[in-house]
Amino acid sequence: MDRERGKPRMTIPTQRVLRALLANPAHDMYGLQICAEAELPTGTIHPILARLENEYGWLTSHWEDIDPAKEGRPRRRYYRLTEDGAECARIALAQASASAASLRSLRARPVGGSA
Amino acid sequence: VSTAAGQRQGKMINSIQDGADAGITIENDGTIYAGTTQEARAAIDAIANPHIPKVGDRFLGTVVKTTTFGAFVSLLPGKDGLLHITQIRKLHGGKRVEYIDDVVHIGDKIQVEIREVDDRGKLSLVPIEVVEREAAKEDLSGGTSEVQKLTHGRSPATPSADERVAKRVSPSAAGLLDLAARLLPAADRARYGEEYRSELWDLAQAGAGRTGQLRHAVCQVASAIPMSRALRSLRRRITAP
Repeated sequence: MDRERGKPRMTIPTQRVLRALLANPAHDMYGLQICAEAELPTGTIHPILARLENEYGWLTSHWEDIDPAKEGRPRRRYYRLTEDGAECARIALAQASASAASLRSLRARPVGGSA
Repeated sequence: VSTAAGQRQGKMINSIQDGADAGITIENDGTIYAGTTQEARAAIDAIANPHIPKVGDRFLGTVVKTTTFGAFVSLLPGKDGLLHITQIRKLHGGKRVEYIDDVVHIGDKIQVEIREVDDRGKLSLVPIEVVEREAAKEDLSGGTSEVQKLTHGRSPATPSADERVAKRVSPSAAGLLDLAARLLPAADRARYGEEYRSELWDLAQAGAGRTGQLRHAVCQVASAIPMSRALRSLRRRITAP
C-alpha cells in the first residue's frame, strides 16, 4: 500500500466524513449525526473515524458529560476535528477535488491528445 | 371464490349487516338490499370508498381476538389493529399483565388511536387514555429530542417521556452490536460497545423499527474487520515507533 504516513487515503467516504465534520467545526458531532450528514451507513463511518482519530490524530472524541440515570438515556460519544486536523482536512479535500478535476479533464480530452 | 376468501367475505358481510339498524341484507350473489336509513348509506359508502386508516386516527374499536402478545381490535369492517400487551399494561397501571384474558375480553369496546402503520398496512394501536396521559406528561416536561432530526421524516410526533421508554431497542440488534464490539481488539471493546449501544438507543428513539435497527447492527458487524484493522494500526505504531 502506498499510504504515506500523516495523511489518510482520501476515499469518497473519507471525504464525506471530513466534509460533514468541517460543515460545523465548532460543534461536536456523534456517530449517527455524522452518518446523517455524510449520508453514509453506520458501518462505514466508524472505521474512518477510528483511523482519523487514532492513526492521524485529526480528530478527538470524548464521552458526553451527562448522568445517564438522570437523563434516562445512554451517553453519546462526541467527535470533533482538532485545529490541526481541520487544517489538514481542508487541504486534503482541496487536493482530492483538484485531482478529481484533473482526472475529469484528462478523460474529456480527445483520444491521442498528449497528457 | 376460495373458501378462505369466502369466509372473510362472510365476516365482512356480517359485520355490515350487524351494523345496528343498517337494514342491509347482502345476498351471496352480491345483491344488496338496503333500507333507507343513514346507516345503510354510510355502510355502503364505506365499502365503495374505503377509509384508509392513518396514524393519529381514533376509533371506538371492538376486541375481536386475544393472543399472548396483545389483543386485536376491529376498527372498521375488515380493518383490525393490534393493541400490544405493553399498551394494555399501561391501561392497567403499568402492572405486569400475565394473561391478556384476565384484563381484556372479546367484545370489549375500547377507544384507540393508530400509532403506526407498517409497510404491510398493519396497524399498531394505543388506548386513547394512554395517549392523553402521555400528552399531559409531555406538557409538563416539555422539550424535544435532538435525535428526531436524524429520522429523515419518519417520526411523526414528538415522543413523550413515557413513549421514549416505550420505544424499544431491538434485543437482536443489541446482541449483534455486542458481537461487533467483541470482534474489536480487547482494549477497544468496552468503549465501542458502549458507543454502539448508545447509537442504537438514539436510533430507536428516532423512530427506527426492528428492521431498521437490525440493518444498522448488521452494517456494524460487517465493518468489524476494517474497524479492527483501523484500531490495530494505531497500536502497532505505539508499540513499535
